[in-house]
Amino acid sequence: MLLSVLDAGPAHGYEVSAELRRRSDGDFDLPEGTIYPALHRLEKAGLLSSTWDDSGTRRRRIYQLTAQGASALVEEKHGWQRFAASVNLVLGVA
Amino acid sequence: MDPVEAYLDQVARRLRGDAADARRLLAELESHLLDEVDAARAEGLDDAAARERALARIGSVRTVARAANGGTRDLLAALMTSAAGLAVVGFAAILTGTLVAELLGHVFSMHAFYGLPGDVNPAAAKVAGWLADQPSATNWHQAATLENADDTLLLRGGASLIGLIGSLVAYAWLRRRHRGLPIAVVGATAFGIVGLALVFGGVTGSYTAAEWGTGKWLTDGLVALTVAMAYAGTAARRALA
Repeated sequence: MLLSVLDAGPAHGYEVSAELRRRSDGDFDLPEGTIYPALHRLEKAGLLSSTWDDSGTRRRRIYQLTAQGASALVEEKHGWQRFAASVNLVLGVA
Repeated sequence: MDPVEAYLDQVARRLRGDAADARRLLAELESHLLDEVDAARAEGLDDAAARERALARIGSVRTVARAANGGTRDLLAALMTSAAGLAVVGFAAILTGTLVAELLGHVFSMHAFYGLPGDVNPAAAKVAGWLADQPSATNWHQAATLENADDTLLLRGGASLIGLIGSLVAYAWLRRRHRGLPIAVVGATAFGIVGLALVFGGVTGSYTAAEWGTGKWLTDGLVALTVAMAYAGTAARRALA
């Protein structure tokens, strides 16, 4: 989900959490502080890159998708579509 | 105290691992909280209510610290990395002590470094063994000294070299996957206790079936205390940073 939000363009953590809440219509009301460790892990895995942005009123870390992250996002989306299709078939709601 | 600052202080106290990662997380959390407070104020909340909502949304100190520190598996991996790092230093210290004692023994006096304490009366069979293994010795005291020097260099030196290589490989492998825990205080305490015990052994001329020699005890003790001081320096720098 974090990769999907960042697929729209570089963003800092606050924007990512706000966008997650907006896209899920408030259903994904995660503790927002837990987004940062997740972003750090994705960066260590090479799926994101980040830099400090000091241009605004406060210092922010800006995250963006790497090429490896973009490929991983495509894989994850396909995987989710397959999984969701299988569950729908089982439930008979397709 | 400002509740946002109090929250960040509590998270900081619970974070494990690399200091740079912790600083980065705290900076991001602070920026996030202040953005959240600004957004709440813009919606008409007063300052206290805005801060309360920001802190409620970001998650409890425990939740955020646990997310940052990882689960039990991450903790075990970090402990293993730290243990491998301590093993590297330990084997390197043993090897250093062995080589330094060997060098100093040859320069000054083999007897002072490897000789039996005067009050030790070994079994006849043991004395016979030393004399058989050291045909160049002119008496059994000299045979015991030479046997101790040979065994220390070959057995202990060889074992510590193998241990050093093995622990280095393990540490390099683990370090690529997990950062260790900050264990400078553990290192300073462990090496400090061992160092003091070894120096005590040297000063009192201790004897065990496997280890004896005043100079050898003291050399090992001083090497261990040097490592302990290096760890203590690292711990102090971290505490003052």
